[in-house]
Amino acid sequence: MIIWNPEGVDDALWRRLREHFTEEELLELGYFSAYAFGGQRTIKTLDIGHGEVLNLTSLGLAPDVAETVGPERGRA
Amino acid sequence: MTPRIAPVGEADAVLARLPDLLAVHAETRRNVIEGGLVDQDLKRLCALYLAEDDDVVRHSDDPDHFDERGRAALRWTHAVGWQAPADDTLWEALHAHFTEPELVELGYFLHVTLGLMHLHRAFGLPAPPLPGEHAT
Repeated sequence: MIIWNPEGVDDALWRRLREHFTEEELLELGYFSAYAFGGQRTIKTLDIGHGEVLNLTSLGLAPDVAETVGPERGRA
Repeated sequence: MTPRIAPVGEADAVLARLPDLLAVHAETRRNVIEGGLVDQDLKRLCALYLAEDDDVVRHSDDPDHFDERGRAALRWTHAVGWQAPADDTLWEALHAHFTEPELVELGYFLHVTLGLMHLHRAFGLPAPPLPGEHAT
């Protein structure tokens, strides 16, 4: 919703979210989603993919994808 | 009674629930949104475009309104905001008017600003302040 329809976040969704997350967790998760969204949109205009430049982090990637990039790769 | 010290904005009050997050955001605001290499007026223009300001969007490609540098920045802003193609012509224009460090900064500004605009809408917060408008 933050990405595709931020105005569509209604009371019902907030109730569901609060059943599973604290306010602090919701703030962190929301900020993370917004940050990742803006970043992905921007690097798309650079014609590069996540981790192709300064391959220092696997932040935001699914675990199976994260194994292929970032500083964890190749570690014993 | 008039407060002797100005209260923080609503969004900062929300972010303050996570002090580390507020600190990171304040650093970004200081170094990228309000400060940095690229002039604040140009960043403000790009933020207005992302906010779909009628006047800026309507005249974004009009040389009578914006110089080549501004129009190149707005074309990039459009590509970021609406997933439009960012082709070689756009990048040639950007490189003609900005240094690489300026492009990194402006790109990061677009990244953060687009994300914040969506976050504020989802959280029901007022739109993020434009560059130069944040109360210090």
